[in-house]
Amino acid sequence: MQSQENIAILIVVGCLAMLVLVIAIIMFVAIYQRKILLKEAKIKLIESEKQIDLFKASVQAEEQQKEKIANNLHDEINPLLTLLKQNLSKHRLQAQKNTFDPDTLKADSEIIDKAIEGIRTTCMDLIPSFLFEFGFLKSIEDYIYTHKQHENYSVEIENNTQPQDINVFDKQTQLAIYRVCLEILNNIFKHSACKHFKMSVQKNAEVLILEFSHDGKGVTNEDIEIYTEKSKGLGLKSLKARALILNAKIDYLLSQNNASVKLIIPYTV
Amino acid sequence: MVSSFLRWKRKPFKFLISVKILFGILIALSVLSPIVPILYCIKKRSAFNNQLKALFLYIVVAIVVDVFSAVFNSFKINRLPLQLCFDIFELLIISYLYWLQFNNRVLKFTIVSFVGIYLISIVYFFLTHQNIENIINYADVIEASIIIILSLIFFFKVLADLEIPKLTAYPFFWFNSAFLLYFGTSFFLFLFNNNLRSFNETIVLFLNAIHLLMNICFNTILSIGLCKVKKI
Repeated sequence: MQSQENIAILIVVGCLAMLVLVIAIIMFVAIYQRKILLKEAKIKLIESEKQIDLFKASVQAEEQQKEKIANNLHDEINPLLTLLKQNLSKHRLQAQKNTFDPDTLKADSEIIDKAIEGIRTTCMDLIPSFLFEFGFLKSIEDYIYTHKQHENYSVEIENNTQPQDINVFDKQTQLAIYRVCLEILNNIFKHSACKHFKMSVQKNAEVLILEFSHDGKGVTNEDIEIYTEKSKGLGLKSLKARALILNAKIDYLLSQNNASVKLIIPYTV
Repeated sequence: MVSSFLRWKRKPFKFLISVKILFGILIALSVLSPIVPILYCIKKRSAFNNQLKALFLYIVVAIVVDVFSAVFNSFKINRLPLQLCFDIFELLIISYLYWLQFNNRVLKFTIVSFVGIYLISIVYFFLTHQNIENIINYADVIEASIIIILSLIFFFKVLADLEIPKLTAYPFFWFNSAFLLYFGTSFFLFLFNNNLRSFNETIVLFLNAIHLLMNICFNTILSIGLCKVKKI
């Protein structure tokens, strides 16, 4: 009888323990799942806010570019054309009085040259023609060598790709990659104070990898995140926005003697 | 709890009568408890998919088997073969519910394997000439284990996939909770079922009462799940 009671107690305790355990599991799943979902929703909200920030930054960058072009046209081209118009009026009067000196046309020609140069610079600012002729890689090399003329550092370029690896990207994508690279290069040249700079390009089956390494002051991914958050400028934000459009990844790596920025662009942009 | 029950046994006759009355009420409630989910099923019939159809069939068969068991008991007919058939049907139908619920091939294969193991075990018990009572006991323990595992897998998937936006509004969450609650709690009863045969009647009644209570809870939770089914 005593053993029957003991077994009965064991069964009851076992059943109760299982009941408590089951209720605990059910409650845990229901509460924990809700908590995770809320957390995910919060993360999504933060991410969407970041996306909006990036979008705003890219719109602002575009507006700034338009403003720059307008300023170029207004402050450089417009005065030249106005001066040319005045000169033409003067020449017309001189021609009527038969006092026109053909040598004065030389100065006008110089004004036209300046205007053409100004327009060319503006166009280059909009879309570099070099890029469409030779591809973004050559344009970047050209930019690096042009920049090097005014600075004191050594440059090394290592290209392990074939032209077809680059031409896979359409023109618009190449332009976007070019702008991203330019922003990265500008940042490196502006802040790193490097003595040696190396650009290497390689590809694998799925991605194109551009690595810009140098011996100057570098940053890590965490640093860049902080700079992007805190910076009032548009450079880093528009860089992030462009990379996002390209579905590309930018990795900022830092070692003891070397720093590098790795741009990884998928071929399925 | 059992001890306090047993202390009442100083007046054994009166106690047994009152326990038997309570137990009778509990049996009636337990047998009638599937009516609520059946009514909900009828109410939500426009939203019926294969899963709900299977669940409806399960509840109907359960109530029919309960009624037949009561009739067999009163006519002193052996109800154990019917009980065994229902156990097999129960595992098949609940496994089918989970099979419909899981999209993962591995999980579907796991369910089929579990059912296979269960059926092979029963055949094995038959071949080793176990008596039907033992076979039912073993089958119940294996069945409860399988269903507990499946319900835990479902909860794990809920947390891993995070595909259900509001869990408490999701009918299968309630069905799964009902299965886990019923089979988890009854597991110990199934495990010691063999020992109960030689037990004092009061203790058997008390332990059966736990099972009946769990059955009522099971049907109540199923009803909550069916209540969450959205009409089309």
